[in-house]
Amino acid sequence: MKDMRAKKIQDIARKLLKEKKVDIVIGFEKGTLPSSATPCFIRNPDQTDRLIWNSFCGNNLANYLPKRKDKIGIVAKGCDSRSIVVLIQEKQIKREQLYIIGVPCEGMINKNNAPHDYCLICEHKNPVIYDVLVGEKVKESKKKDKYKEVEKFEKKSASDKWKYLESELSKCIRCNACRNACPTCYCKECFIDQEKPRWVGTTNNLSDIIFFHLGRIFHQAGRCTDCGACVRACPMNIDFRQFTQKITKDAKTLFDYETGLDIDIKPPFTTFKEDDKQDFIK
Amino acid sequence: MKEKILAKKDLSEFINKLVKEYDVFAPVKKDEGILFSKIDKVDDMCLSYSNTKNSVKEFLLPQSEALFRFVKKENSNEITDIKKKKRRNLLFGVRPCDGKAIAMLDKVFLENIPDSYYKNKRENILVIGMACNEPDQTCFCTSVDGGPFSTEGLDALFVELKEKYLIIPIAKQCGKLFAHLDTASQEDINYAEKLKKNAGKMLKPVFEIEGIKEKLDGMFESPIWETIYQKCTKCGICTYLCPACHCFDVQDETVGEKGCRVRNWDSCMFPKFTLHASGHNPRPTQRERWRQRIMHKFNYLKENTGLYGCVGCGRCVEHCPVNLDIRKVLKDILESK
Repeated sequence: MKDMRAKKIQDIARKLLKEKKVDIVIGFEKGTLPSSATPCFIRNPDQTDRLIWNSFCGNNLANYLPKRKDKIGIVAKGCDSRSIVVLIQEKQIKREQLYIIGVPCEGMINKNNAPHDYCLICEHKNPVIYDVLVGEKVKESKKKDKYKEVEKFEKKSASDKWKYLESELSKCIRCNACRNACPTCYCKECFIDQEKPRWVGTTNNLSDIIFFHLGRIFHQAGRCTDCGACVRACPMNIDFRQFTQKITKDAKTLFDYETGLDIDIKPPFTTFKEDDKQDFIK
Repeated sequence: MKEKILAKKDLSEFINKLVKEYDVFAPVKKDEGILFSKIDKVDDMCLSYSNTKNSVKEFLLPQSEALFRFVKKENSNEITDIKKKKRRNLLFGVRPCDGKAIAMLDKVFLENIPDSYYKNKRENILVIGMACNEPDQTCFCTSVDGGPFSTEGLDALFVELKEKYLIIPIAKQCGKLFAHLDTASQEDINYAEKLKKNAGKMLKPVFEIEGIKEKLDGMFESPIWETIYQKCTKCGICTYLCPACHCFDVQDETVGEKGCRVRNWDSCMFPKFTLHASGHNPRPTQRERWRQRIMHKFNYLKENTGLYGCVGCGRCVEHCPVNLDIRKVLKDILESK
């Protein structure tokens, strides 16, 4: 079944490149470690047999799209496709630049061959946008206890929340892997890199580290698809999802918005309503 | 100096003694993974580790290091030195790859114009290694002139035998640490040799590094760089976890008239690393940045210090979020025409 999908992806990619419908195909190839797959970029139709599909294709390939000018064929599972929708909404890439090779996803697994936490609660395994679908759609189901961990966190006192935040973020080594793995962290110049004015100190001072992460996480409201790219990338095992999921839950409960499902629906960060519940916005 | 023997049951007493005299850092199990951290007793340590996630370079070149403090005054600036740490540091359980990285850092920071901040810390530290009987799947020290029992950069090397450790003292200053211990028998030494051979067998070189420096001499404009960088996400994991990467940036952290001059780790993978004040960036894309990473490690450092800037610890291989494997990059370079 899986090999069939790889073969289909290869065939589609070869055709796209041969017919010059795209300049490049972004997909996955075999990684160098056991239980690994790695992003690959193919321009030559003769190279398309490198493309694979398996349960290690966890990277969110939408991360490679912002600000590209060429025509791209891209392999996309559910979460990648939702990030693509966000990038189209935010004008980081044009729909007509993309040929989306959608692949329904059964959930990805980690180095220890266990499913990722975020895959277990995923409600959008099938790509929400695609030009061709590889394989059969998988059954979707609502996950009742999706926000179980967030709800536990919400019940904590303010000081306990802060303590947790401090203990998690004190692990940070400022390698920027979380930001750089995130498809929606595409700012040309991130606020932590700005010097005039400088918003954030340059050292590993905890207060600066917290400022960076809170800034980044707040900007993910209505933009994070819970694809897990940040937690997968973090070399220090920081539990970012505790915070990003809270923001995702807020976007859903306060604005009835779920990230990346429809290009034509305005995300909460780009719109306001006259009948907004809160006065300060008017 | 003769090899010594320490029974595993006596390790606790040995560590207790060390803790009295030194701040002892050793592999400790934490949420992040196994980290080199301060220990008070033997139970704090985790000795079933392949390697620590953080390298020991942070004890010589901390991620953020205060150099001096200053206060801006009307006619002159008041400058205060940072107090030196009094107690000596001892690192226990350093893998031979990290030891080798220290030997390389020593060349960079102590030869020609010594770096006083590095020198102070280097003189205040003892490095006790632990040989690798069972190298990990990402280890490739033997491919870059190292070895699982290498003693370079170490003051002593422990080899784990069945119920005991064989200790190979290297630096004179280690003598007194082991003076009270029994001398190793020929049988123990032979057994350690056997383990060394076994570990070596597990670590067959994955490429032939000989000649890479000369090969890279002619590759600055090679089309190969075009094929390497595309999936790189420009994060700093590879350089920050690397025991040999040592690039830094100097910044003034100020509040009002007061400030502190700090030096922070920097990374050639970051787009801002070479950004000029004019706005020009001589390494405008990840292509040039990856070329620099490879050239610095396998050409420039080899030429300037005689050593490679890679010790084959495998941290970058294991932790790169997109599996951009430096072993594959080197293989591709070595096999290219």
